[in-house]
Amino acid sequence: MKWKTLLVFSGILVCAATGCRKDPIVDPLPVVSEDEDLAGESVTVGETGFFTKLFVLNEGKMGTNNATLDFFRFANGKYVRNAFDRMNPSQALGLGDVGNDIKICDGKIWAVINNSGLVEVMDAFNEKHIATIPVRTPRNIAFDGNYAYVTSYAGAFVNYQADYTVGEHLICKGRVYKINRSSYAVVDSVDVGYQPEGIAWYDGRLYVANSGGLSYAVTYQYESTVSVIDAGSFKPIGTVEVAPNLKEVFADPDGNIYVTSLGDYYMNHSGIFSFRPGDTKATRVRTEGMNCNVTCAALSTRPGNPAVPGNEVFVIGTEEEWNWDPAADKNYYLFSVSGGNKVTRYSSFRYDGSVPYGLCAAMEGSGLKYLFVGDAVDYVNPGAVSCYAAGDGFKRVWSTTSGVDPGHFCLY
Amino acid sequence: MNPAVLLLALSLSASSEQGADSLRASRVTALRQTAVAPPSDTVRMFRLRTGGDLADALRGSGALMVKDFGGIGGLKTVNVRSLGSAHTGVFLDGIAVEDAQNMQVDFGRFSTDDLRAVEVYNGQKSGRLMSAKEYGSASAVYLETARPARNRTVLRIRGGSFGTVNPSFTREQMLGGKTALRLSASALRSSGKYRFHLSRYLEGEDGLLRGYDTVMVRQNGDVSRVQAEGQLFGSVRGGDWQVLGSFQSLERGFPGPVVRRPSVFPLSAERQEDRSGFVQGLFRKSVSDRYAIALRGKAEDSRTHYSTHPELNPAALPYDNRYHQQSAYLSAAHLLSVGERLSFHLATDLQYNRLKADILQFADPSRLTFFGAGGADLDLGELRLSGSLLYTAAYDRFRKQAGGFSLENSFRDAWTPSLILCLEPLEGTVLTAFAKRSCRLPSFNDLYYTLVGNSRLRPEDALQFGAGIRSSVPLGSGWTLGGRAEAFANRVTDKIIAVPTANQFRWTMYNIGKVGILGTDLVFDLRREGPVEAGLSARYTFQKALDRSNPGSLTYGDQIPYIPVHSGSLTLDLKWKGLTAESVTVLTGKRYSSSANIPDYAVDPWMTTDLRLACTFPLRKERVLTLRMNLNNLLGRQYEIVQGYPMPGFNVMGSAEFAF
Repeated sequence: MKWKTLLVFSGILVCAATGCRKDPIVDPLPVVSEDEDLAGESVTVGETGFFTKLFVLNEGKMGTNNATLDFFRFANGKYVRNAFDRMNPSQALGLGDVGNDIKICDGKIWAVINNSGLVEVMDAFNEKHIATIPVRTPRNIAFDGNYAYVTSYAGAFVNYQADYTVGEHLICKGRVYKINRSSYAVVDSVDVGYQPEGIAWYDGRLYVANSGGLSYAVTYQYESTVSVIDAGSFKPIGTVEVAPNLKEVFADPDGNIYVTSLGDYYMNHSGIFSFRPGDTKATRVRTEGMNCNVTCAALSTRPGNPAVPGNEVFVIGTEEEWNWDPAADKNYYLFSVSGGNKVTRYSSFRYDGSVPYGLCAAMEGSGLKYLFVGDAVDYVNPGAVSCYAAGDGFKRVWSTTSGVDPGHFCLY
Repeated sequence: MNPAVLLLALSLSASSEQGADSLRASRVTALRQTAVAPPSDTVRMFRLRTGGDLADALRGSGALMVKDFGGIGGLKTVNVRSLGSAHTGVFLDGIAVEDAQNMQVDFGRFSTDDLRAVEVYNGQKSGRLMSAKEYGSASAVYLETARPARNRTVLRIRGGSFGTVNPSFTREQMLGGKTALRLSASALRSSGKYRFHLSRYLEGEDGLLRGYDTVMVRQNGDVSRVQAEGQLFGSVRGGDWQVLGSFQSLERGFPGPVVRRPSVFPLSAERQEDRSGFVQGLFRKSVSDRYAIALRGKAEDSRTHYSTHPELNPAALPYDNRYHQQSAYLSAAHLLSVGERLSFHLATDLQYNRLKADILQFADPSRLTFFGAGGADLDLGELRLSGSLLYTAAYDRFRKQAGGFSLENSFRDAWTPSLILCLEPLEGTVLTAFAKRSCRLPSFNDLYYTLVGNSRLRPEDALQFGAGIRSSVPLGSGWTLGGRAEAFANRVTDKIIAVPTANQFRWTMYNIGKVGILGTDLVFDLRREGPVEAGLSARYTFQKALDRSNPGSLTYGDQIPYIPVHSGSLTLDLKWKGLTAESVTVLTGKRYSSSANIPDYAVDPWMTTDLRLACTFPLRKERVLTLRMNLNNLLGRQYEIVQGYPMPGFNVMGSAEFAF
């Protein structure tokens, strides 16, 4: 009797063991062969076409490998999620971990994937993979005629000996990598300050914003300079003193260089600074009654084939940036800077999302047409992308769910 | 049969595997820990002997979830009834194992070779002469080392998959009639390498699947561990004492989450070295028929060196830090009996913790904690009641310069009551119910970690209610049918979670989490005693652990991360003469890696089956040779417990043990 019982038990076990699901994970979004077939959510109707697409790079949560590429197609008003994975299903592990910058050059998208240590080049027409360039800890990208320039946290190691309580620490300088745009090969590199972030090219020179965001834990001070590199010889030619903890650099077509600073969260507020080529010090952009703090910023883009940079930097900021209460409802303002120090405030703009995290300003002629804002919500769950129509008192035209942390945009 | 007796019989029958040498009758029976309610789970001796570590031994135990990052060196924590791993207390011979830095105990660090019993309490344990701290944890795992009964030497060698080699040695020596000594040493080395599959398929509109399926090898998961222990046991009239000294040195790599990365760059180069040593002692004595006392003490020193080795992996944040923790602990517990039925208990503990680190501007915190517990036990035969009240008060000191922490929040205290009721209306049927509030103090990392810490944190609060019935019926010819059903309702408030504030670069700890938990545990147990022992035990747990933090948020009302709604296990075991076989099948339903329960965050259900075999050969002169074999993940399933951390497929561990 007992053996029979045991037989039954083993039977149960075997059934349970083999009955477990064997199906592969199937994503609810279908894969297609042509980009036009990508199904998307209709988010807008009416007048649309003056750019082709708005690309959105969602950073994803670090360590979870969920950086994704979305886009909005102006022609049919549809928002398409996770386009890279769906156009390149056989790419193991998708786009990668932590998207940090996206720019378009000659019809190709260059997506900088920070924690994956690579720059992914794909066709802007159909998001199909073209090349993967390994670059350690890449952050941001800029272009000139033949090369792409990528900032990276991985430069030469220095042995930092702090003053009293800390022993020896290895920390590394930042670096800029020079990549041939046709062979996709790294051809040169040059060291800059600690943890460089944004980079911009203007008139044969590269401007690199150093942050010191990680070395701060060792040196207890942020970097405060922009490194200037001669693009031809690829040698450093000087620095520009700005403010602690720099983030982004924009160069407008008139030679105004704008740099944003995150501040030190304690003594110095965030802000936007400007200088001209040849200057050694930047000046803070400020206007009466407003500190001009920066939560996120973007250089405007004008339609054209390819799209061209405008000469205004749009900024969303708040005076309550040191209110650390996670439940606080902050008042955000929108302003733009042009000509180096001219501030225009758009008081009709009301931000109705949670946390503005990415910004994109689409111009038509000399005026702002649409403002796209990426909302990080809680930074770990899917965010939202909203479109505000500037001509209509910044009315929100549409808003839709994006990937996690929609922080970076580019117009095509 | 009375289930408590059944459990005792089980543990005794299990321990007889070692030979007839376990201490059964001793002078300390008067002080034997008799619980008002029996433990929720007892790990069988067989599993303690075959398992690699404590986390292995606890797999498949009811409402307890083992969170495992994979591999021999991967962090393994235990979460009971969704309260969070920081709410699970671990007690080694009655004294808490703890880590003030992160309030988490890594179950992978404990070898089970010299343990006699492991008991799991889903709620409050109510033993005699408990320390005040024992009233403080929401749930607890009790480890008890075996007391030597005769002179004996045990040599073991274990090895197998992942390039694992694990020799160990135990010497048990009687020193006169009243004192015994146990000395043990072990070493472990493992490459931690294993292959895993990674695949994903997307369905095309043409109905075809396109995707990838690739094989990778887990790197940088190697471990080397050396451990030495000495333990003295003694008895005095009406009591006993023991002293344990332990040293462990552990060096390991953390393989990190699997993310896309070009093959020229490593996924991770993180390393951690731990060196820790402690001495602990326990003295228990019945001074008279009415009064008994227990004294406990512990001193510990542990050093950790954590480095991300940015020179090998520049993608990593550059950390290279050394931490030094010191702690001291003293406890006195009293028991006063008033007549046969009523007894009062009172316990007072004092604990000191200090954390130093070579981080610039580090707060260098130290903490003095007082625990005071008092209560009464009433034993009316069929009805047993135990009520207690614990007062916890912690006072922190730290260097003020770091990040502007203020000293005004350095004192925290909490009153936490508990009540247990146990009714035994029929022979073989026990009804239990308990209500308990507990709190966990914020860890040093929560409070003072540079940039992230928040010194204003309050203790995390857990409220638990549970009720259950257990019953067993003899079926004749050695068979016994047992069953258990329990329902529980928990609420965690002021849960400490990291929140990005103002921007992505500035995360801070806040007391903003709330979790509402409802669930049931069902256990079915069929067992046969006799020349052929056989057992089947099936467990099922249903848990709804819902985020109740912020009404209106995306995650409100969704299941919290990594808690499956459905989970269960199936254990079959068979013992005949010197042969023992056990199979453990663990089933875990769908979970989410985030509180946002959307398809993007769904983590697949998984199931594994482990088969453990042992064969004992009695040789001449009480010499015993035991050969063991563990076939883990028998069906080679690829699964993840934590998203991004693939678990090993089929793997084998074999061991030979020679006792003489």
